[in-house]
Amino acid sequence: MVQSYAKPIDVAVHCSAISNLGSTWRQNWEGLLAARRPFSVGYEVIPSWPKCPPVAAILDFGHFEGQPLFSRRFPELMRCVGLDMKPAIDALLERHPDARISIILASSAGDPGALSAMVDAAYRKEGPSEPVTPAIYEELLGGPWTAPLNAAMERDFPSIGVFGACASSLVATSYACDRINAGLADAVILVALDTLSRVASIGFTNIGANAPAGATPYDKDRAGTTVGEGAVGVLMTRAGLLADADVAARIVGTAVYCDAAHLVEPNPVGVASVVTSAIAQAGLAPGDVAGVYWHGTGTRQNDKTEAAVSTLVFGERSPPSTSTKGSLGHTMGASGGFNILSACSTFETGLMPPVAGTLNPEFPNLDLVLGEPRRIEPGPILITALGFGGINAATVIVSAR
Amino acid sequence: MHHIHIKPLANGPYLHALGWTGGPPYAAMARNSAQFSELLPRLSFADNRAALLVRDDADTLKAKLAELPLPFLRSSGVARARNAARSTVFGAMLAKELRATFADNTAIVGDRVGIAMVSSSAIVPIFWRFESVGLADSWQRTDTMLLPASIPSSVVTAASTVTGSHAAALTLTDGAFGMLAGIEHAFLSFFHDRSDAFMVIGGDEAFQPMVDAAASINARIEVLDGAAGMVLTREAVSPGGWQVCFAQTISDKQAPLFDDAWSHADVLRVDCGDRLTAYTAALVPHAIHHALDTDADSVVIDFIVKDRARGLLGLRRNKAA
Repeated sequence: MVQSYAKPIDVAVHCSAISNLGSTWRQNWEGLLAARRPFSVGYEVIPSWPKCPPVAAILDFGHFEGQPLFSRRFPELMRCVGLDMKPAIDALLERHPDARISIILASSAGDPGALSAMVDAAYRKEGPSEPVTPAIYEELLGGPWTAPLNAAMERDFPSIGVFGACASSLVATSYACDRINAGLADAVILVALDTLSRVASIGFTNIGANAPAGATPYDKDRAGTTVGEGAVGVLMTRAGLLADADVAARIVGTAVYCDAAHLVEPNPVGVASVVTSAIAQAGLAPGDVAGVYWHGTGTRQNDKTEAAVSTLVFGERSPPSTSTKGSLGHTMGASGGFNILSACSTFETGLMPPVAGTLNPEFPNLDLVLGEPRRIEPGPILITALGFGGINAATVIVSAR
Repeated sequence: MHHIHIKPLANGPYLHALGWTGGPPYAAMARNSAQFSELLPRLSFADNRAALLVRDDADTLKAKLAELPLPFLRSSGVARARNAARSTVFGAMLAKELRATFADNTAIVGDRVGIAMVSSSAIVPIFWRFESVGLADSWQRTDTMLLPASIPSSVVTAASTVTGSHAAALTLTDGAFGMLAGIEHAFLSFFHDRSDAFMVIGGDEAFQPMVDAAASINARIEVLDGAAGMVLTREAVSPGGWQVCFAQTISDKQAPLFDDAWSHADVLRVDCGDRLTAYTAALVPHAIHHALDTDADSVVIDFIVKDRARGLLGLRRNKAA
């Protein structure tokens, strides 16, 4: 039996969120509520991007004018998150100068830009190639990916990168909460970040999993996901470190599991196992869950699996459910981070955003929020994430009020 | 310089086994703590530096960079092994050997075994193969079978599959520091009763563009083609052995302060290079193996990456067993 956290892990109000919907969390949340779908043609955003269905590209980095070089996209995004998080970190350390803070980077692919620049230099036949600088070699050889984050915050916090495929955010959340609960850290800055990669865009396209008109999760006519990018910064702390007004929500359960059943396809039993484990750690029963932010990629297999998981865990009818990927696209390893922030805003507003783009749902057991936001009953929210190789993770989060 | 207290873990993990693989001849070996002397090291530690005991000549290195032999690929158990990174194959091969060291302990089942892998080269060769075809031929001609292997977590999920380990699967960055994070992760997993055993494996391959990149910037990197790892357990599963007391990474601007109990510990300092952490993961199990060949009751291994960080690993002889 998994040990419950001695005290819930606090999630700070102050955060960072950069995606195709905007460069602040407010812009992102309003975009989710409005079911916006700002998808782009890849090569109109990034020069020489191969032809593929629309992508969920960041158009506004917040602290960077225009579009960075592709080889600089990941570090620039990291820097922007650092600038966003700096005021909260400064305030925390002013109140608690001895607080032990560390960084956990969650990513599915890491930085593809440096490597692509090297491949371009070796193989590109036409079009411009970016210069291969010593900084690119350092990125490739284990240079600290979080250096721009620390530099932007004017700190030197220890950091580690965690890769758990598309479940990276929630795998890292579990790691962060466990660190805090065990007393190894007072606070963790979770940075969930993935940028567009040619391998993902083309790979998903060539296997028919990249939707030509954008992702429509759980729709009968869904045709795949929308490859995206995004960054989230979330400050998690032990109880009592933040002022009550600065706490957005509290994490009470986390779980990870690798069903290892298939290279790419998720397994309903494995996902159900991780969901029930997170709910059990929270000291709750499935019937206590008031809402679910599912992984909801829009691929045929993912959505079908989650519908089966819902039956295994919740029976005939799920709690109110949604997916943010109809608006955000699939931000890969960052997607769970966006769902944590979404859950916090659901607690604040009482609203759950609709599954953007979905008109004709396939699974009657899923109580999907469709068309417009829905006011849901107060209560714990479940977040799930599924990754290649069978990496599954879940988080249970409750209101701070 | 700012001082930082290195606080011992409350009931840290027990070191059950160490092992490594590499090639040629690509054999994997693993031994439990009573048999550590049977392990033949691939690295030596002298003057604070790790060095390969057998340094490759140009022809051997070229052979290493060629495809792995088919029998080895098959024996690894990795699905679609030809489309996997070599570090994936090395890691899976070693994970099987490490798993065998506690296979007779029926109390530890697959659902209660986790794996963390650290690899700096994890996806580089796969990414390179995919994108070079896309640029040189066309993006439509890229190999879709490479997609599952194009993310770093693929190195660990392959090891999970071949060993039937489900409690956790994550890949970590940052070389030696990632290995210490993996050890810490094992502690946290035991602390929260999520698992009973955890494998922490560092695996890399000598991929030519990475070797060339290191040469281009004169990086001090010992390129180790293979994997090295350990098994940690929640409870001591065999008499004797060692217990991890701390595994912590600190800034290189901090000075560690240890409790008095550590004043007589053997100390092994490992200079891992400057700023970069590629290919340093596999140093950790080798350094542990080297440091534990002692009469002392406690050892501290200090992994130093200049201008980056220090990783401190403390182990104490398990007298209770």
